[in-house]
Amino acid sequence: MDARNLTLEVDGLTKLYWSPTSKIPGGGIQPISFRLEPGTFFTLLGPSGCGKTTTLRCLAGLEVPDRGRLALGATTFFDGARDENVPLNKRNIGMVFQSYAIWPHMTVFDNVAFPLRVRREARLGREKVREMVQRALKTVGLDGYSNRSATQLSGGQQQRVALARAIVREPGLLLLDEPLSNLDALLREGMRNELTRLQRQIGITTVYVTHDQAEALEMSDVIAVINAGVLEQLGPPREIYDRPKNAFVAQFMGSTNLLPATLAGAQGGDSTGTVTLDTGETTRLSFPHAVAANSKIAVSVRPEALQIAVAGTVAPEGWNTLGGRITGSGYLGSLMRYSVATAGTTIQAHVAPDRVFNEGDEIALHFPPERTLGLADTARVS
Amino acid sequence: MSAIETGRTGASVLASRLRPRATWRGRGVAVKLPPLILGVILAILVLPPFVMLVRSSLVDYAKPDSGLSLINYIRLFEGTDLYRSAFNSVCFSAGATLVSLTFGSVVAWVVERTNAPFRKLAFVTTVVSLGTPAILYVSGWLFLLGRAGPVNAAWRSLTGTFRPLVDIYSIPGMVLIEGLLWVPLVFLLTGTVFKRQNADLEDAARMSGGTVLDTVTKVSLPLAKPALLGLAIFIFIRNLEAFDVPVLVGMPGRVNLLTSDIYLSMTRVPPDVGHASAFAVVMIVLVSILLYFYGKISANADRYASVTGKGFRPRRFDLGGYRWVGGAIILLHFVLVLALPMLAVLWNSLTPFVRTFSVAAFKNLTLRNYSGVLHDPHYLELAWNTVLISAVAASLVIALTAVASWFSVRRWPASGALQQLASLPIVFPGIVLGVAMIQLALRTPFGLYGTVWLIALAFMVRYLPYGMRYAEPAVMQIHRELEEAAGVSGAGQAGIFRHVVLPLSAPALTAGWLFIFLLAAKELSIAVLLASFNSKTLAVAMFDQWTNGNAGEVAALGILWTAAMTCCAALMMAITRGNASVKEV
Repeated sequence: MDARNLTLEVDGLTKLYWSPTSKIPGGGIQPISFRLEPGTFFTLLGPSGCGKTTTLRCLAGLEVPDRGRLALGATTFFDGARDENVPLNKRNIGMVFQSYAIWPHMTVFDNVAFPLRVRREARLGREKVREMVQRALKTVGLDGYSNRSATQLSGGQQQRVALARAIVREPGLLLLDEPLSNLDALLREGMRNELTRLQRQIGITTVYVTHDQAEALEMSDVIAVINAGVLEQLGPPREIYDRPKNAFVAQFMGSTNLLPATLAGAQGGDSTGTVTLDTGETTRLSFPHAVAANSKIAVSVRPEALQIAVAGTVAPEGWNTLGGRITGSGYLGSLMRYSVATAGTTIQAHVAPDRVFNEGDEIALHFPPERTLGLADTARVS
Repeated sequence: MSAIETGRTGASVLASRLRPRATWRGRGVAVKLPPLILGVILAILVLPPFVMLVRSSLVDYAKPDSGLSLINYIRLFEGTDLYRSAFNSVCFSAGATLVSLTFGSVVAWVVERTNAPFRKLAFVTTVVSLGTPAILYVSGWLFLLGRAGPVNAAWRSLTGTFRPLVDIYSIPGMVLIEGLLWVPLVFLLTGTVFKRQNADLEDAARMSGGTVLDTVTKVSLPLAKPALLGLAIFIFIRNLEAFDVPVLVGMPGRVNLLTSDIYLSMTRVPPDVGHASAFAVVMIVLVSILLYFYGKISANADRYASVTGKGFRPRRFDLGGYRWVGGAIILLHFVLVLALPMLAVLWNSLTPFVRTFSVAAFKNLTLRNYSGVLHDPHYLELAWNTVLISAVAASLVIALTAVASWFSVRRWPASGALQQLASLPIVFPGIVLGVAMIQLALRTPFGLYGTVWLIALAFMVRYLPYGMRYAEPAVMQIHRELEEAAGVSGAGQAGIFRHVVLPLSAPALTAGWLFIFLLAAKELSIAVLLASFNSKTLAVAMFDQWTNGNAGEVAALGILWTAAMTCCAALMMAITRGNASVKEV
């Protein structure tokens, strides 16, 4: 059986934590469902405490879900309705922990060989174990490190040992729990590429947990944005960034400016329209997703979608204009970051550094309607 | 882990319906059974001594068939013995605590936090003392300060009077000996307190313009105060339970304490079991109250521990021109705690009969005591008995507490009572446990009484809490992801324990084993009541020889035994170097 060609199905997975006194759950995950094609690099993204790690631990078998169904290929891991639960040591899953969880009393070889040795039913011979461990170590670029004590390794190397241990028995699913968060910035960049390369090479379905949106964008095939236990949006990186479902997703995936407004008539998905901002200006914008009538919305404009011009300059045909005054600036080399005070709020704008404005300059902000998004604002439900 | 509010709101009803019936460790009976079995084993070990003690305290042994009554308690509270002994005990314990805490913590501070010379000597002193039976120290001091001892002899020849300078058989004498006995442990425990203090806090005080004295009195001491207060209560309890000094020094001087009263009523003919049991129950209550306060204070003390992980480095004060004062304190510690009493014991072991120190006596020095001890097969058997009993007790305690700690620290289902059960015997003073175990042994159908296994069993009960104190932190410091990784890798719970938990806690468990072994090997108060002619430990044999007046043999035996035990103590210190070497229990 090719263990690596399996579909992961998660159906209505629920796991809530209750503190003894509160009437609302103290954390966990509300019903969440998704289906991953074999070989997908899937990222669970969200702020800390949002439930992404809970979801991962339910997949691993480290938490027992309240209800729902988990299945990998033909194997049902958990079925709340039928009271089935496969214990974690029978799931054949590889997992890399946030702390790497390298056993300090074992050598690199022993760490990686452990999953093979404890699986008595597989009856792997000494030679076979050696061969599989060497292959795993080679895959992660650690051949020659077999006899090192695990404690003599750098953070990056420990990371690789953890990865080798996770893939050594050719699991059906690879789980990665914020594996890069303990590495320094430079190493993290390198490991991002390394991890994606490895995952493509092995072709294993991977679930990756992170709170870093840049990691998620760069590495994933599919991203699930989770907030307070609720799945906000599921889709490929470009879809999530360019067509966020609501104000939370827009704000969490990269920075954005959110301008409050109220929508009079309902809008369908992929439609365009005009709204009046709460500060009075009229804006033309697009709606990537349907929004109900009379609801509070947020008008999202990414800082890089804004152009700054001297006050009074005419905007390109059809573009929106907002007047404001420069209140702060920062030079970042590749771009200039300006803070612009407008009627209602302060707007961040990232523009090419070829044109310099001074603090106090009266300016106009120009932005195209197709990059001005009208989004449901769940935080401000009326 | 979800704790769930039941009833009341819709959400909670939903929650209780959704409550998980399993953890990743497993579900149902399979996961509950191991903690339950362990709980039953612990309960069988720990609870019967309690029940026996309370029961026999309620029996009127003059009319054994008359049912349960409070007659023993009534007699106890009507008589004056209890109040007199309690008063003596409290004076004795308070004095000894003051002596050991002051001396021990000063030495510890000098050793851990200054650049005084001879710091290593303090550790040597402590290591040797840890392996030395208390009775040996007591005999050394009794010789030094006794009526015929060198101090009083010198005083007499100086002044020509017949009145001795020091009366060692008195509360002040007992306080001195007991106080010095506890200095090594205080030294180790306060040493860890001082070591854990963050030097940055002191640097801040120095930079704000404070002198060394200001810094110590306004920053270091207040920071250490809760820990020291907790330690004071702990040492006070241990002194209250002390047996060797009250019996060896107090009884000849007609100064009765709680422990010696219990011992007396058990050893008189016929033994007054009801009286002793009632006495013991009163003592357990007293100790429990003190332990309650100790628990509150030491929980508070943890908040003052200023170790923060990163960037933590204890630093030494430069004493400058006063380094010699620090060195002198360490030398004094060495002389009082080790050199003087040991020299006295050595002298006794080499003289054919007890005689005071003099140049003339050098001519008569002999190794007869040593050859007597080494050629007597009985002593060899005793030594073997002692090692066997102590090793078996230490091994079983460590085995039980390692598993119990794992269950309880990782909050296994049905593991709630394990920690309490294993810690319960802490309220038993040694002599009290002896009384309880005798009652128990007399009622067991199989012949436990008079065997070494009764003593081993009593040691096990006694040292269970000690094992917990070593095993719990050892399991706690294992990152839980190390266990989870083994589970995900395919290991079952037994495999996780064997391959991950056990090897990673092995250093702490080994240190705990050695500590318990050392304590058991010199324990007198439990064994003295349980020993028969065929089932003695070495400490009991030394006690018997001492009461029979064979001071020379006791000394020779003690010297040999101390040498062997010092090796074990050194091993323990080497293993726990850098960590808290000895735990308060």
